Amino acid sequence: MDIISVFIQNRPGRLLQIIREIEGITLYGFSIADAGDFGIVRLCVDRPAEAMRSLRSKEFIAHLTPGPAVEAAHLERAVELFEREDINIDDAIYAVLVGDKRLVALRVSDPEKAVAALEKEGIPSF
Amino acid sequence: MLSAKLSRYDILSQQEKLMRYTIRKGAQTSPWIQTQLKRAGLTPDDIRGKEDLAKIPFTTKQDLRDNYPFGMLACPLEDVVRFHASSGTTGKSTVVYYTQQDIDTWAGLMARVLQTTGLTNRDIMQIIYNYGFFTGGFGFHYGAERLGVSVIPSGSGNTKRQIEIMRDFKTTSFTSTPSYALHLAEVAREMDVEPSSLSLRQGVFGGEPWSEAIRRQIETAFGIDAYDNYGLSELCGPGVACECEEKDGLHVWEDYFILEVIDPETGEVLADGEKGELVFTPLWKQAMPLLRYRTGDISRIMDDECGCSLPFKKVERITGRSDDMLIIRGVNIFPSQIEEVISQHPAFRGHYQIVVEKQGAMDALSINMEVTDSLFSGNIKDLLHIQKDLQERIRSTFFISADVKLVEEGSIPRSIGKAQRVIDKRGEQQ
Repeated sequence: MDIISVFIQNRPGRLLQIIREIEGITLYGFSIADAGDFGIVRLCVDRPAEAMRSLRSKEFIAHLTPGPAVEAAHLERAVELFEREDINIDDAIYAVLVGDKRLVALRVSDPEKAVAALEKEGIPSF
Repeated sequence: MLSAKLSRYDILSQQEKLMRYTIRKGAQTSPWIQTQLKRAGLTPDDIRGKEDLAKIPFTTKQDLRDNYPFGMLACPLEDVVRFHASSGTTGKSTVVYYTQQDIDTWAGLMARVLQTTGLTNRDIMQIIYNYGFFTGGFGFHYGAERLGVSVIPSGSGNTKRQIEIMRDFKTTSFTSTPSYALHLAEVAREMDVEPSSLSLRQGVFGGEPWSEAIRRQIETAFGIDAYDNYGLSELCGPGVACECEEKDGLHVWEDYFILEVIDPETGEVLADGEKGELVFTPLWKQAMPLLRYRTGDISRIMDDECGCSLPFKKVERITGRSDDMLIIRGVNIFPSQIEEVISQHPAFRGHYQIVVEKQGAMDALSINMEVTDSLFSGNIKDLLHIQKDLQERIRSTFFISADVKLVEEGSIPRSIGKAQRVIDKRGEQQ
């Protein structure tokens, strides 16, 4: 599950513009990290490449990080595993609903290592 | 253009001779110079050597404004072939006039500038300055043609077309303001044209103060040598001084201009090496001769010998104007000094704006810096770190605190002419 991060200045209308920009793309999950004058909007969508293209075409500063996402029921095991493996969790988007699955998307310091560790541990990742 | 055999002795003896001639002629033909000499109770005979020059009162921008439009004219209007007007960095614009001989001399001075920066008749130069009242476009145009360079008079604006021309014509050199050069590089990348893949090998920049860091950015982006040049419309336009291949100070064409550096407060002439306001006396102008013109630009004469063979003294890169110096909580700061600090930061890509305003009785300094794709990792910690780091750098340099604001790319207005890097709201707030 890719996470799109968008840098925004704290000014009226910007959030609305982001949401309008990805109209037609299914939004799985959404969060805002606020740092005073600026913030980072995080999105999980069904067609991340397309969303990135349309955001960038409107001159949004956007960055894409590959997953992983795990089912909410496996969160405890996943976090435990990452601690053991020294993988840092920067941020998360909870309640990413994909079909009937409830996922938690995790922004981690080393996505590749995280996916490999989850696989080895037998925790399904998305 | 450059005569290979000009020695320091030739220059100095020519200077005094031309100075006496300029003053004598001005006293006959220029109503302004007549007034200027009369005010000080001087006759041309009182000025024999360069040391006497300081007896003459200064000419200021205000004098030009007061004589708008034709009061500074020293020849019949029939002999004038061109008007230009200053770009009006501060306040109302001023008019300048040229005879045919003035235009020819100016072209020669500009050809010398371009020659000094290494251009030859094998180069193709794109002139990305406005051709109009502003002297930049015409000055470079005539100088480049004089040198035999192939000139593309593309003018300012239409950035995408500029890049297409660079690519299609295999342009080897261009001239613009430094801030526009950075904008060109950005737009080129948006068009999927890697700026360093173009045929450019050098560029000559000016029209606004810029820092070493901006030079490095321009040079890296385009893979070129970037040279600084200096001039102002009151003296002719560009063509007063320029850098040689050493890129360490600008050689002043002392066979055509006498340069003095003065204390902007007292008007006293300073010794070489001391920082102050540049004052020029052109030795060749017919339509608009001026004695001791105060430029408002701050720099100093460098005492060191240059690695190149030019016999002309150098001035340090202009650090600012006496009238754009910011006094923030009693600390004197030139915007270019702030730029130097910002641009040393690895995250900096060239677009920032300095805002000074009153918060209560206190001056508050804030710096808006654009966040670019290359520095955004999606991580909030990284951004907060940049913000804090920059704040710390400013505090340790100027001993004042600044509020660094990270803003979206493209949110600071781009300029085709001079970048508005500083917004001082204190005047409006009173």
